[in-house]
Amino acid sequence: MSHFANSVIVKLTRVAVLTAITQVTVTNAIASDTLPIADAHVHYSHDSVEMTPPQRVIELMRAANLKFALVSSSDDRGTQLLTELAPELIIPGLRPYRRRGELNTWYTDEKALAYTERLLKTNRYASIGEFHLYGDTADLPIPKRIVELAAQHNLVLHAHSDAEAVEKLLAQNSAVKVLWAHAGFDDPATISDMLSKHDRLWADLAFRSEVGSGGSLSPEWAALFHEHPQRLMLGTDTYTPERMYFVPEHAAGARTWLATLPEELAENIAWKNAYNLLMPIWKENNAAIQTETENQCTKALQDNGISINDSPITIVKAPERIEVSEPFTVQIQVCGNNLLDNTVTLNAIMPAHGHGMNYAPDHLIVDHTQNYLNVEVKGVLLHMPGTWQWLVEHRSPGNLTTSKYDFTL
Amino acid sequence: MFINHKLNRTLLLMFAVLFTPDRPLKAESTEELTPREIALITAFGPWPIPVPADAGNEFSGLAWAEDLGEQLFHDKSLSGDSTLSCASCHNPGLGFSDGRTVAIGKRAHVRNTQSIINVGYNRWFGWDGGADSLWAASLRPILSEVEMQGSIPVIAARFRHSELIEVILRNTGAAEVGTDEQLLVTIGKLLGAYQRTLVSPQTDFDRFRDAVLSNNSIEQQRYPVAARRGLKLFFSNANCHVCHFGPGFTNGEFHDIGRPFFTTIGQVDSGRFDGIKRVISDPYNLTSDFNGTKRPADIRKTTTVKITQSNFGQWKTPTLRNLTKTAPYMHDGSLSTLREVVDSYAEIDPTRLHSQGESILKPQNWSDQDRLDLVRFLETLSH
Repeated sequence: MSHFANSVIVKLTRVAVLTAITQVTVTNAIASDTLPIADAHVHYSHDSVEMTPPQRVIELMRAANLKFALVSSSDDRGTQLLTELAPELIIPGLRPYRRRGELNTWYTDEKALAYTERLLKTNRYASIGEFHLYGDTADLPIPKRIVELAAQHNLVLHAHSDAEAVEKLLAQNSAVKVLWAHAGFDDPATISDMLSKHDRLWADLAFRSEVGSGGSLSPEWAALFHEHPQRLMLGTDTYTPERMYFVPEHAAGARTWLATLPEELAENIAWKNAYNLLMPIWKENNAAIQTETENQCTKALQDNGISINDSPITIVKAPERIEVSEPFTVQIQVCGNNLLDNTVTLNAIMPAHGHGMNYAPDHLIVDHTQNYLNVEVKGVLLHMPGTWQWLVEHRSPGNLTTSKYDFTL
Repeated sequence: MFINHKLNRTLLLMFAVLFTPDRPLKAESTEELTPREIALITAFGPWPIPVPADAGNEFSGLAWAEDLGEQLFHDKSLSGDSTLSCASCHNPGLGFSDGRTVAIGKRAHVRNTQSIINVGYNRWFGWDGGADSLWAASLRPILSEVEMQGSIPVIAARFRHSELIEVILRNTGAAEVGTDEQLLVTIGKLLGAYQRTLVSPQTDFDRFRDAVLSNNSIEQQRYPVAARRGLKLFFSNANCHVCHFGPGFTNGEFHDIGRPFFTTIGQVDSGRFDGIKRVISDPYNLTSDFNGTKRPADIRKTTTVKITQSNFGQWKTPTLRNLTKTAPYMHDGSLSTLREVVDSYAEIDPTRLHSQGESILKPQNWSDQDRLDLVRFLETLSH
């Protein structure tokens, strides 16, 4: 640094430099303790219910900062207990097992099928599974009936299967979707081939301890994630009662290796892929959750959102403090009817100046059902102080509504 | 260095307090700040603020990289014929600029050399924002036919077996530096790491601003009355503060202030309009494989930036810090003094501003004293 020994330039302090080192050694900043995780492989079976009260299970899930969990249990009671206790946290799956230990007999057991059909009449689920099925057994009558039920009830098949059985399940009905438990314990190359071949196939990474071992990803797994950024998700697999207590540990461990991935990919694997696969199905299947969804706008409004349109209800939620020339994210939430064909976009202008933003921010759909549209607008940047105006364009078939809201920066 | 700097500053302050002719003996009511003005200047500090990491630069913030970057900054081997270094135009003795109207590299440029003090705070780099990172902006002059006329194979050959490479490998643990192009990118990133450390110190304005916020009336009175009057003009409805906003006195974006941008008869330098096209097509932009950190938030600016007609003739809002050391002014260096800059804004031609342009800019009926006061205020943004 001799050149500037007499100059008046201030060198950064070591503290600032260390801060910067932290920034470059951690690939993404979001995979901290706050990164939500969706756990797509939880069982709360009869012996687990005996050992751990449902309140404690929910505590563990909240400690893990789970966004939600796909829970299936043998028998179904544990799933129902958790769903009742924390409906916002649990997506129920229907396991066709009445007790543990039916995994090798269920596919030839008429009573297991009857049990499944009975529960489908009274309860609502997002999936059937996790069930165990290999090779030719997928084409036996009971598994075939399970596939029919899945199509009929709009349910994902959660299959602990080899690739052959997965392909047979998919071939039986062109509408069904399969969540491949443990990604079949197959190698990344085979998983990638399967995902490339079947667009109705997703995979969970439950009990795949080699994924992110030591906090880092092997090139093969990293490549798989980059090749299929929207198809893989996390899962603990609480296959013993004790393992329920591994849920927070699993989430923490996953966050470590997710931190080595680009931010959006990490979020996809952490929760968005599971959310996008399961939540729309669950909301459609469950009227109670639909009502909950319709109330999202009310919640957003209570949470400092701005109402800019009444029909349909449209809420814009920006950070409480907006800094000039600093990018930020705005959320638009729309609640109404027949929203599936609708789009919503946000812009910002300075009417007095006759210009808007210098950027066309990214619009990412977080949630989209008949009754609810939630869009994240990322990269909004207001480059001057003064009076700005949010412009929200809501397009439905044959109609365009523009809503405005003035605010001062 | 820091201690000496502080001592010098103290001495200068003492000198200023004792001998500055416009120093008030007591605050006068006409110079009292209004609540609106106090609220506004709050947003213009504190200073300095942390410098963000250079986007996509995995070496940003690493001390060894900053040291190597500083060496490279003065290394003439980075130009094709080994006659020019970065420091040839960004001369530390001239505020990291060159004092010329327009730059002269291997050929004559059409733009003024921007100072690189505080360059690390930028979102876009260069007058037109044609680079989206400091390291990419550092590669541009090296490879420019107008500036340093370097070429990838020639520069890589000069450095491939140098001690510099040994230091890089030792610190990164890498086995090799890669292709010629990767080696050049590494050099750019080292240059970026160094330039990020160039931060200007506190100024009289910063001390005044801090004193206002802490209600320290004694420190406030050290601030010259003329500068205080100029400050009130700066934050008035003349709207200087709207674009020259925040602790860095820039919003980091691009505006048309009615300055001509012909470079010669029949040629224009379209500024931001071409800058956006250049950054999108830049092989070293943040969407490229050379991005060493791949943070989506960094990349998003490059993938979402809009190109519009109004970008034609826009230039980046420069920082006003260190202004007294970086004359001449404007993208083409066409204004020699701060007084000329103030006159230019006061006498702006509204017809040059398209109706979609910044309607906040309008001629100002400033007296000669007003203009002197505004210059005095601007001077307090330099140390």
